[in-house]
Amino acid sequence: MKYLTIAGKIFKSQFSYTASTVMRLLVSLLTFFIQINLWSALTATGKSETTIEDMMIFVVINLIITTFTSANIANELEPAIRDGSVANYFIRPVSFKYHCFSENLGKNLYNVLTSALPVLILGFAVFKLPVPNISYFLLFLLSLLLGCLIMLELTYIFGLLAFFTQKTWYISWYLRAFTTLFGGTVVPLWFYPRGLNDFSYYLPFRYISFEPINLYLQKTQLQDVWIIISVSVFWILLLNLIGLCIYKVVEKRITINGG
Amino acid sequence: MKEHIKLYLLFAKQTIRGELVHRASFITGVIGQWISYGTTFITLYFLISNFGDLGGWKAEEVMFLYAFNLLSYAIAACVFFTPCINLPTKIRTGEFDGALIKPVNPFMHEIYNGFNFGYIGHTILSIIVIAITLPQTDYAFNIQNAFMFLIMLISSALIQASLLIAVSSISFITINENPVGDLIFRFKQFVDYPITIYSASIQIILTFVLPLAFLNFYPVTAILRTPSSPYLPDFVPYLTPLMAGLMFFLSIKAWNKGLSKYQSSGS
Repeated sequence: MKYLTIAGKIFKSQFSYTASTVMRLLVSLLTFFIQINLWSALTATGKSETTIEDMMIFVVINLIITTFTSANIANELEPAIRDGSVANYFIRPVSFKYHCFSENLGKNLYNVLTSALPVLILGFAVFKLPVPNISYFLLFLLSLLLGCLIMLELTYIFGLLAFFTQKTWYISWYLRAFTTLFGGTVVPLWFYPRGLNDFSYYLPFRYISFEPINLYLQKTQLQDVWIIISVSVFWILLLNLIGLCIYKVVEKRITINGG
Repeated sequence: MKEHIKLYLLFAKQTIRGELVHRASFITGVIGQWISYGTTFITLYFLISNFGDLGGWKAEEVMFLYAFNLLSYAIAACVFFTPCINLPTKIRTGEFDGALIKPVNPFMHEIYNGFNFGYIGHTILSIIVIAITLPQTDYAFNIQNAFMFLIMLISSALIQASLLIAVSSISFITINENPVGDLIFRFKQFVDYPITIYSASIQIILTFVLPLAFLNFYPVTAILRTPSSPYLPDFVPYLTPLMAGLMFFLSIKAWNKGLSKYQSSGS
């Protein structure tokens, strides 16, 4: 409950940044416009069965998930680690992890509503975008939720790395590269060479947004859905465990200077 | 001029030394950039080779287009990024006033102190990608073409620099970050792909209004001698050096104009 209060406070505080809200909306509209042109040019070649409508769904869902899960915990921690104020995290009666999550939840929810949702509405207004049947839609929502959880666990693990490195600016580069390459967030995995696509099944990244999109587009057979759902749950548990272990190490070796 | 360069190299050497104090951190950072941009290049290749072409461009040509933009940006950014990006903060905190009482031109003072060694990663990666993709295109190696490549690269770097300078000069008046500037940098996404994928009006805007197509599209069509925009005359790509000179001149003018309007924030 207290985490929801934190999220709510952060959500409300976002309203005071009007200029950056407008900016973010403009940027996401701009990106959407460029993506429309890109995928129109590609699908016009007629070399693939993929339609422009499928690709617009791909772009919009990815935009929503990346906006909702975007977090740079490492960068947020760096100054706190350097000046010692990170100590506050350890003495407050809140879990460090969920505190990080709820802060980002408030901010990201605001961003989804102000910059991603308008693009979604525009997408449906401009294109005749497909809508799945109800059972696929519910499965899509479920895998979307699991996908967001996987991404949150990953950002948390990468965020904890801030305690081990001197600088943090590059940590997010790694995470972004892995999600782009193995998660197919920019170019869908169905355009990848066979080997790389097969390899991506062994990593958590494709379950973040690519599998939810496949469900939305009804590209997944219904009898295979339980595999995707259970693998997603498996990754959430495993990543949660890894995060816990790293946190234990952090707790043990951290020395806070100054303050 | 010679004195300026000598002084600049001296400052740059200090910066590199400072950077390499945290050697492990620096190398991990560079590898991170390589993986990140490498991913962009690889996925671009997968995508376009799947469809055959993008706006009439082969996958290798688009990768070259992207790498050319990255290289010219890295060249411009190692000199101009830090001075331009830090200017709004320096103005707000009053730190910039220090530059006004030094016995050098304030612009040069900022440049001296702003060498950024971090772009070495971008530079190496984009050179590698160019070395791989260029032989896959119809580019013929000879003195003439090499000269053309060099001229176009320098022109493109000058345009990249003038964008950084022009945007930073706005902060003399706003005394703060300027969202307009951020938006202009975001507009650079337009030229990640050949501009032939856009409608005629957008192509014309990217040529004359916000001339981002001169960053990579026109230079690359001049280098590869591939067809340029179907809506514009064939000589437009060869205007790149002219455009670069003009934009650089105007951006310096804007910076000095901003400086003359500058009133310290007082802090």
